Amino acid sequence: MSQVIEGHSHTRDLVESCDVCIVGSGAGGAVLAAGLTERGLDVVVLEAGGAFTSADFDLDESKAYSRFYQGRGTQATDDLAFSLLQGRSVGGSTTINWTTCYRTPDRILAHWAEHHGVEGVDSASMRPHFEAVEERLNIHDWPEELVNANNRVVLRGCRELGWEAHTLRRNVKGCANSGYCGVGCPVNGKQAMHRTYLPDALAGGARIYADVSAKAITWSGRRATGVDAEVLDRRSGRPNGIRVRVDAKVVVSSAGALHGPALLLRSGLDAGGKVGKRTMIHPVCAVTAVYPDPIRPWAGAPQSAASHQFVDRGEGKVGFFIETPPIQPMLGATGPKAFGEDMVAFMRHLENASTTLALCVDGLLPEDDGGVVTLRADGRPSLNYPTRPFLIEAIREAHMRMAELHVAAGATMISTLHATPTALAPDAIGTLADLPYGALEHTMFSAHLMGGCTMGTVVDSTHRFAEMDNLFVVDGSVFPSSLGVNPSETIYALARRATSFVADGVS
Amino acid sequence: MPLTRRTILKYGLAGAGLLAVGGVGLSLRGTIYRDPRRPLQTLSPRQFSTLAAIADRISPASGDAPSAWEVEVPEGIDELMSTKAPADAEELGMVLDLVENALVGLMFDLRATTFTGSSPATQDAVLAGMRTSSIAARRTMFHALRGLCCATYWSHPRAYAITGYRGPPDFGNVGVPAPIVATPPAPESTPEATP
Repeated sequence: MSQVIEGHSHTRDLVESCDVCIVGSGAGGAVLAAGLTERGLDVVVLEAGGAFTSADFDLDESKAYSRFYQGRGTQATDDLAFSLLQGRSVGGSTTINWTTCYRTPDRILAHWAEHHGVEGVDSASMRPHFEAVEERLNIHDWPEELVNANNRVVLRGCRELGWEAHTLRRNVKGCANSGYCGVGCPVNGKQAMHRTYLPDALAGGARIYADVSAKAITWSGRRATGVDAEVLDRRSGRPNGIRVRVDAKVVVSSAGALHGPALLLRSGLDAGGKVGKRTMIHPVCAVTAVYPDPIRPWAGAPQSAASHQFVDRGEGKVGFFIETPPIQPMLGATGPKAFGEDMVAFMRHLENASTTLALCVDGLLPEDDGGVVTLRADGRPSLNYPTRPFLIEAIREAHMRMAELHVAAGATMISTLHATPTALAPDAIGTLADLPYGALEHTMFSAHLMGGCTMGTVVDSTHRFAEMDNLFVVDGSVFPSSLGVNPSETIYALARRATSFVADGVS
Repeated sequence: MPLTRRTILKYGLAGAGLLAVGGVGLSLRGTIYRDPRRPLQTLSPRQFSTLAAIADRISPASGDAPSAWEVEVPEGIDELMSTKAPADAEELGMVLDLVENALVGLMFDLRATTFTGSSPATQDAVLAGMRTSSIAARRTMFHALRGLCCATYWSHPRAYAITGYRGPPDFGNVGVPAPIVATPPAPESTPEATP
């Protein structure tokens, strides 16, 4: 089987030609590449990140975020109000995600059809695609007996309160249950793209170039002609002067939300000003609680339980769902805004701490059009994501509900991530209603970047870019709204569905 | 004031303007320099010294917890910035220049000294003021500085030792390509049965 071609192996400019050039090797690009090679097509994949294997995943946080994440782990919205965790490697975010898999909820698919004109993406037509990716990636229920203490808090608190809660499905095989999915799986248990669909594509003859950053899609009239790219020095992340030119019959952007829209914008393709609009992030807030017994939130599968009790809060309100993060010390330390002795005191509780996340379901209200991706002066994407009143209402409610959950689960102290550190006794959580909420009032995150090239607007229901005949977008950027569930399986399935459309584009 | 990186840039330019007007005097008063233990890659000596002072207030020595300086946090951040886009390093440098600038300090924090030349108590007050400032750009600056310092500090074994975390498990080198087989369990966890 062929191997991934790494940037350091190039000594001179390179010219390639192929049927399909795919920019990005994550959940969308990998599945698509495998499907196209299976159909006998000649495929080139360009990936800006490096090629890493289990041998590289030493689980050391001090190295992992700078090596495997966009922006060296510091990617954020324009105002730094939201940290944006997104993978940057062969395999994209699947290399470092927390393995949670859901099929797209029917209500979301119905919303896309009704409000965004999406056609042919309903539960019946998507079922075979879900089934196929679930089999390839070994997506299956995680047994409750293996749920770690951090996730048991969610199950215990919700059951005590009579709220809905469930264990999750994960794309793992032979998982060591170590808890380090976010820094790369050291035992090849995670069925990420670099272990599954990308080897399939290589076996089918695809050429996968790591450390190659696409600068622009070239085009003439309504035809894309290829991709101009440059080789990056992996250590510095900067171009090393070697250029790559790919001539292709069909070009596909699978660079994900943020970087996919940025590629189109750099190429002068803005679909009438719509590229970059409607970028969704499942805005995340968090509550931490201290328990009498050790939680060791760094150990065990990072996400294995969730609650969708509040995912649909009714007319005019933004819903949210509750999950957990792993808390190794570095990731955990980025949450609170404390410093000095306060921070040391906070971290001394880490072994007994549990954190829950509330992920807000953005893009469903008529007035919620999410954020906007534009280009910075150096060509990188910039995301302006305003925190509007309806989102702030949801964030406030989420804080109060998560605090309630922790109290029900037996917590002895509840902390929020506000600018002024807040630590409350269980009988004082009612005061959370009076705290300020919104951008930079407290820490917020996202690891689910969606939209920006929305289906029904920037691309049609076959993923074809509005202004071109042979340019497609196949990744999470085509979502017209967020999902209310973790997005990876939706991207896998949509990419599998898109394979026939892209293949038809070649002919 | 809108919340954008560009605002920081404007804020920085305003600071630079003040520097120009002030020339000598408050704006250039008394940086207390610290010597980096590795060659600097992106920051100026003045910026490095400011960062070192900030990092030591964000993570001071406390009982068995080492100070940020002891675990080389400022050098680590300087090295990280050398792997990021040049514009990011420039922005960080500008933020550090503003924090250090005594004239800016006088405007916002009523201190007529540089940050490095201020007492620890004053430095803590400056950082706390930034954290809850009514000016969004100052909150953004605090968030950026705190995040860089804390991430670098708490990923160091001497720092995280105080949390009860004993570092990541060692699975050895599974190698690539490797058969997917039963693997040694991680400490404190139970592996999934291999399907």
